[in-house]
Amino acid sequence: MSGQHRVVGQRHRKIDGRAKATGRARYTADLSLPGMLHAKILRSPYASARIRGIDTSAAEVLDGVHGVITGADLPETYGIIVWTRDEHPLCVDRASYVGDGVAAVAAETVELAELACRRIKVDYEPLEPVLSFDDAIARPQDAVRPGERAEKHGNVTKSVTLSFGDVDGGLRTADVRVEGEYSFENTNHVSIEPHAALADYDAAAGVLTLWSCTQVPHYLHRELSRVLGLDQSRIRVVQPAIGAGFGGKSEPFDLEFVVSKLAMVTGRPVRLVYSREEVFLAHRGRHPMRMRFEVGARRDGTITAVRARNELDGGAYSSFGLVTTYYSGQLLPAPVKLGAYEFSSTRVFTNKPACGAKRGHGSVQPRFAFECMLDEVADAIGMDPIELRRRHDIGSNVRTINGQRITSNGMVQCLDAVERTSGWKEKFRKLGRGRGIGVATSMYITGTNYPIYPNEMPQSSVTIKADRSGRVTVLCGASDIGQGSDSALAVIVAEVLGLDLADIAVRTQDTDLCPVDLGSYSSRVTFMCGNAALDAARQIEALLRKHVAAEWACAPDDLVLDGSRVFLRQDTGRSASFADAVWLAEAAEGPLVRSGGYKTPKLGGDYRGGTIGASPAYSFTAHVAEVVVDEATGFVEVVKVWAAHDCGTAINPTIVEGQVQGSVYMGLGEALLEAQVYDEKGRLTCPNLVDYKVPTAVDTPEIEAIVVESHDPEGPFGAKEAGEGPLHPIIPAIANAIHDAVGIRLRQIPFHPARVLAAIEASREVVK
Amino acid sequence: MIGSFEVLRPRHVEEVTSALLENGDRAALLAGGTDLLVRLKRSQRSLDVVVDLGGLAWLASIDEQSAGLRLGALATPAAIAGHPLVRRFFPGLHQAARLVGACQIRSMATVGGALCSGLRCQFRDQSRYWRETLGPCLAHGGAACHAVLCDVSVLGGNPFLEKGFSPGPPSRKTSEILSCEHPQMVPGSKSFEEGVRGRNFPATPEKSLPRVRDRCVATVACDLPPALAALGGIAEVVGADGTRSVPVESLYRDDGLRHLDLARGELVTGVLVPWPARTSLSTYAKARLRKAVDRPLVGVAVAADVGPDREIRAIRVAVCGSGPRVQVVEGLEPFIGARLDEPVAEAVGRAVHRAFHPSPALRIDPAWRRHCAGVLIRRSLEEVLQRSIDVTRSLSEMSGIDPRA
Repeated sequence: MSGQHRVVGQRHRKIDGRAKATGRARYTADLSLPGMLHAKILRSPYASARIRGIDTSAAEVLDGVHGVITGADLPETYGIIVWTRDEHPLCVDRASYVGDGVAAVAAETVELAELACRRIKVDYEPLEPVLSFDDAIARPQDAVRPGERAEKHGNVTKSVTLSFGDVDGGLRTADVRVEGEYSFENTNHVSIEPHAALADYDAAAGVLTLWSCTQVPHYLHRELSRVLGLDQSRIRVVQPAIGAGFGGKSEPFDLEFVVSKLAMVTGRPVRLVYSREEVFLAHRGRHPMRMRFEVGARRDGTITAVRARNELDGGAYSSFGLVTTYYSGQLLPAPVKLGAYEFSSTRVFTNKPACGAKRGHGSVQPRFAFECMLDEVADAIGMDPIELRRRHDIGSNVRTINGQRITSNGMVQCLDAVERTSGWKEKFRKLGRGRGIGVATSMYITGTNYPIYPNEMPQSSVTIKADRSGRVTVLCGASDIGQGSDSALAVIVAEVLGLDLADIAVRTQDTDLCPVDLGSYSSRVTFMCGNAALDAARQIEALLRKHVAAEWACAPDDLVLDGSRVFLRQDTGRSASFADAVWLAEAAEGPLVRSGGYKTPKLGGDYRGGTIGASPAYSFTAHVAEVVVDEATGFVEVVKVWAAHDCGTAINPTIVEGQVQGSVYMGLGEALLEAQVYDEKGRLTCPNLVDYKVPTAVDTPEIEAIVVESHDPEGPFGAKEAGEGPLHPIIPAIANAIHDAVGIRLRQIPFHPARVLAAIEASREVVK
Repeated sequence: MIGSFEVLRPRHVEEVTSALLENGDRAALLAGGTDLLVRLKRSQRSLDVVVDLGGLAWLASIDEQSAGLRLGALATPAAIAGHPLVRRFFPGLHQAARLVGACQIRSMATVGGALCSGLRCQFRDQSRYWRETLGPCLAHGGAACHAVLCDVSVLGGNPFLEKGFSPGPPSRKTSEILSCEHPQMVPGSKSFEEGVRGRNFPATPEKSLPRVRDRCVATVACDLPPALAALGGIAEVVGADGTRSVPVESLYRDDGLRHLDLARGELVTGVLVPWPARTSLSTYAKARLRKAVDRPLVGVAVAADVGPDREIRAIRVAVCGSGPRVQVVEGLEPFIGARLDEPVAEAVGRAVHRAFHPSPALRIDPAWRRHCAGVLIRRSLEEVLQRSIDVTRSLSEMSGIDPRA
């Protein structure tokens, strides 16, 4: 298919790759303005405490301290989900986790700001913190977020039960039933760039400019207006280069409000860069989840019913929790077809850093549980686990049992590919004790049809300006957080207009310049911005064709746009430069600026919550992992991973492969090493990159990324997502491989050697 | 924040000793900086004077002497690992140097720094903010060691997950392996409960505290010291009164607050590693969660002289990870004369397992670490046994643990 495209499907450098590799790219922390002050936030040492008073006088008198603010200065709440705005930039009367911001200082130097913070006296009344799911349920009277809601629901932030089909009947009539309790750890995104923000307030014009490494400039724009009491039309949000997000920058954070307010108070630019410890405390990472699953199957592998009970430990604030609670159930009913399905998910508040969206939002945890259970089912009925998944693949152009519309589906090709490349048939159950191989699959959304605040406007808009010089500028509010979305937009526009990538400037970083895109989350940018860019580019293309054709007295379709020139199809001797074509079109039409938009069709099940998890397209992934388990120490080494991913069409195969490899790497860390562990007072025990362990290059196995193309009917050139789906299967694939190696079922991540050793010892005892 | 201090750059060792004499604890030596700078950034130390040893470049040399190989204090792990005589005569040292941190650390760190740098403690090696939320520990004027009081099970402090975990009934062997070794740390015990209660910001130190709370248990977590101790390395210590020779393991005291047995003004200028007997072989292995960057949770060095009939003529085992000193394992004399075979390797492993008590300053299951010490010893001796195996290569696998064994 890529054969018919000139640019799409080819391997290109990322358009911002060289700048990032050479150090030329400027990140927020690199920016400095004349007279700039540095801010620091004082953070609570208690997981739960009433704040009886704050005395900032000793900080204010310090020479070089220009502004001190507390929660009283910013009383308005914010939150990424408009129905659950429960955060203050700085605590007003209550600190809810160790690390909650209490006051902030702007000073001449970072050192001075830190010293001033230490001089602020806070009168805390410590309370007994709620630190676990069970504790939160058992102590509804000790509400982490007191108020009207807590009177009724205690610490439960959201509870959902959805049932599709006859689950009891399905379980009852099954030939095989497997049950299991799984749990998933609290893991962080560990973006290499810590959060940073710089604010500058032009008091004369009443305009605030905020530079921030956010994934969601539009939502930030809205919340800034709300909290600062400034009209949205008086705020400009700019994104410099961003050093990764993974969902960890997909909502507003305290520092963005704090630097803005301090800039308004002091009249000077103010910058704040989180320490790594603050990144861990701001968190918004993976929800710890306890999952109890029941799965019923027939002897032929048909899954008759699945019942899931999910418990989510949400931390101190709502964050994305409402959506996470739904996602924990809504994304399971494919690729394997389910006869009946029920899930009930409950999220609670605890006095720990808030959990939110992390790559594979909400569905990585239940996917781990379910794919391990499928392995058990296959074991119980004596069927090869790849064969089971292949036979019971849901297929394309169908609806899942919960009403999600599946269009393109390359699952079977993915399974075939990993089976072949991994040598599965020669290895499964044949590698001998200590070495094993495992498989797992998943599906994931390509954007959600559900904007975070209800509105009827496009979810993504792109404006394209064709300059008389022949240079084309693409303006879009999307954030390139390293996933390569700017490059994808450039490729799409280059394909339509017949341009070289060097002729295209992608400007995606400024709310003053760019039309709205909802942000880089839910794997939506290539699909939605891509379609919007396609729309805009085709309008420009039509104008160029029309006016060149008029000049050359031919039909518009007789023209070919290629190599930044326009040719006549029949007579290759006649051509004009792209710039000449722009001159002709602009003379006739006025400025060549056109905009395109994208809005999802109406999607989702016809029930409350039915739109959550509804996506215009789904990606599919299959992984095979091979492991070696050291039975004397419990160490698990992942030797190699084969990962096949159906991304519809690879706009740029190199970037797709990079996303697949990055996803495997990130999931590998969650499987083997990572865990944000809190002590009995709610302190994070590993707030640095020595104690919180992400895999090093040496720990990372060879990853064979295989691109499968199912050519989605609605995606731009058939493209779907590639950034999140490929994370899901790696964790269960490793767990299933460990089972193949040493016969143990690990139901709790991370697969730390001490835990693996204990399970091996326990299994030996059972055998005796 | 790193703070401000005066930096001296002496050209002679005498100037170093006089700077140290004059400033005592307010001065620190800067060699590679891989340890000191990190501590300064965390405000773990505040200094008046930093003595930069960069002007004493000759201290980086590695010299062949009649008594042994002399490593200058400023020799880097990269230089040690790359030295042909180290590779040929001291495979254990070669291996230890190769397993230090990561490439950048191996190129910057020094053997003197490895011997004398600060101890590792996950309760102390944190930001000032974090330490303040915990309350001061012994090293910062507090009354108790937080590590000793903490439940350091594998994911301790996360009851939500621990309750959800049911891998099946633990076997007797499992509970034996994974149980807590320190009676004062067992949850539910009186001292544990007292500890937890009195833990934050203790207003007045309790007089009835168990004595062990008064002892800092931060641990040596460096690869080179045990390797050098197993090989019988002799540190060269220079002070105002001249030079003295100290066995590497004797550099340490069992007190994390003052773990080096050096007089005011003294510094280590080098280590002499005696030439080994022709039939002896040394190994080094470490357990860690990642295959790079991480310090050893347990570092195990063996030097053994095994005769042609596999009779053990000499054996010396040094371990780090149990606390402020490098531990040379005692009580191995009964194995002298024994024929080294797998049961004997297993028995030595058990002896080391008995002698090794992991420091609670690391929040990784101590029972598992202890178990690993035994496994590493057993495997090291099996390596010695099978001379056909390339020791220097195979031990680098699996974080120093060879899965094939």
